[in-house]
Amino acid sequence: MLSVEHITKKYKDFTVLEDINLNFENGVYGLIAPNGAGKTTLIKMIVTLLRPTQGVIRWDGEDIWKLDWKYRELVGYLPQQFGYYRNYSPRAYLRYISALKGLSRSAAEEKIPELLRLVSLADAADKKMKKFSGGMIQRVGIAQALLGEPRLLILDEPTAGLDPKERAHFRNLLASLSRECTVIISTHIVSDVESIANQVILLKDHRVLRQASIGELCADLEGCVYETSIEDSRLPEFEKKYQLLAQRQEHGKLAVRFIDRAHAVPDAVCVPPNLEDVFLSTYEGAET
Amino acid sequence: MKIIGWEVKKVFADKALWVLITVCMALVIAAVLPSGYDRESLVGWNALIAQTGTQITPESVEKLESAVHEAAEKHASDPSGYAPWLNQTGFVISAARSALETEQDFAPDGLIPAAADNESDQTALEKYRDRAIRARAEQANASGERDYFSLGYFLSAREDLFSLVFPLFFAAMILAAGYLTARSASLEFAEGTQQLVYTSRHGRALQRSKLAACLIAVTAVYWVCAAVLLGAWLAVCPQGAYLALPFSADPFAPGLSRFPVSFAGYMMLQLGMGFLIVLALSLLMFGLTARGSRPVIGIAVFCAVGIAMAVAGVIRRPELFAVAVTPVSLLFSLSPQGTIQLNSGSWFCYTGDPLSLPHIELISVLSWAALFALLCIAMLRRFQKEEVS
Repeated sequence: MLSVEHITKKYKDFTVLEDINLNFENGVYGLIAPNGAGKTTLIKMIVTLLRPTQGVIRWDGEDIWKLDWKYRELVGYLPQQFGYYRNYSPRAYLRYISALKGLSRSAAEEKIPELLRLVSLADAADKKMKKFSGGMIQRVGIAQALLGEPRLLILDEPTAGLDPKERAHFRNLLASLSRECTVIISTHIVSDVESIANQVILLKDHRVLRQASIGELCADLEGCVYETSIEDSRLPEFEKKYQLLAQRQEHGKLAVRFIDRAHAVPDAVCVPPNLEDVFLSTYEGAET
Repeated sequence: MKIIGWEVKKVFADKALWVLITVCMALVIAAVLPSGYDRESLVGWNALIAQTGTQITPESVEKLESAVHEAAEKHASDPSGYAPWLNQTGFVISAARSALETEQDFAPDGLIPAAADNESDQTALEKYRDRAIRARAEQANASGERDYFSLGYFLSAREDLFSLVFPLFFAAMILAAGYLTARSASLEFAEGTQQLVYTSRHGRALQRSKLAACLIAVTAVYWVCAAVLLGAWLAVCPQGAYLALPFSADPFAPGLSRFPVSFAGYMMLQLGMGFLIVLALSLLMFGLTARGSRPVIGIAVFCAVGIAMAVAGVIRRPELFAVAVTPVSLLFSLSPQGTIQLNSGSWFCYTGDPLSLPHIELISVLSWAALFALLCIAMLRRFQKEEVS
């Protein structure tokens, strides 16, 4: 399937990614890192928008740049900044993308209504997109990425602008697609991938920190995540001692979730770690 | 083909293009309206010569004289019925009589030796006129026709057409084609769709389709606008028999055109040349903006090339390079010398330069087109493999 081999990307003296090695098979992969960590650069290299400075990306063992259109026809891509033609309707836009993807007219006419229904845009199929909200535009973007039944689906921050119901719907859709294709979701919103990702890739300091399942990642924090309630006034002191993961007001006190590897807070309750805990502990101090 | 169709639709969906074309064509059509004097004069002469016949014969000259006297008497009794063409009657009648008296002198055998004998003493201008007379004699001899409309007094409206209206039209079309091409070549970058479009199966070949679409769109725009222009010109200017007459490109030295072509044919020849120039410049614009991310730089380069060529035009040998630098300097004529190139009335005329190639205009434009096409090919090949950010 897709393999990323010793990829390095440099812009003059600045290294964005260094010696990246990854393998992808059918399933959902979450690419998680703070902003500026190089997620989008890696994605752009995978979809042939950028060339690696060193290394090679292969599809079924062949360099994707040598495969050229034979590779691109397998790819469905939703960029982070999804541009569109303002005067096009979703239907016209999808027809145009179908032509670019090499779909026959009949195949496109069969698939487009189905996709418009899938992203809940059937009623707005012939309205101009310049009147659409950000969420509606994003749904058009998702629909175009799914055109042509791609074997490699790459989504860069796909849930931006979607409401909770749409996000859940979208996650279920990706989970069903992942049986027959590789789905790579680049995001810094961990809840997008937590319930559906087979594997999570963490990038840090321009390198791959870890590629593992969510269970394996969470296992590293097993027995270290606690919850307790404290007085508001104790928060500064608490923050100095422990890595705070979350806080909320509850019955006049502050309910906090934190990492404590020494179990030094007697009345704190040990809770199972989640992917967000992993993310926060991994990127402590980083700007997310 | 399917994608070319989409790209053509995208070109024509741009409202700004239609506004630009409409404004440009309005200016061109405004220039079509000749001065009242010229038009009235032509109307008068057309009416008059319809009575006498267009051929200059002793009988028609007599008919013309009596018609002119009648009109003059009518004008004397009713001053409000003044017709501008009456001012020219003296010239026309004397020129017609002169043409009748010197008919035998139009035989080329009589003129060519005379021109050759005095060649060493003649100035460049005299040589130029000799060539013109010889050409006119050859044309007249070949056609066997002598016509009132070929006398040179009816040419002011024609002169406007070739020295003002057509150059304005070419400039307008270059502007429209330049905008259309630059906009199409860089649309994906302007709309932010490049990341999506250029990762699709045909994405990297999209610029090829865009180039084809631009050339199709430019062709359609050009010829539709040309039809509008001709329609306007034919509606405004009176239609006499002169459309089918052998054309004389220079009103001061009739007979300068290098090819035996009718007036209508000359118009089409000019439009054809203009079309090739517009196509060539569209290729240049496409080559400069095909990478798309910074079309402004491409457009600036386009302007710089034009200015550089106009400057080159100023220091050129006027006769030989007058048309050789025409394509770009049509837009960027910066000096009185440069305006020679703007005047499409000089195309296909005798330049007076023995070094001038017979088809210099065509060779020039096709050379530029080939050069710009190579630029496009280089850009397309590069785009196929380069990064898109």
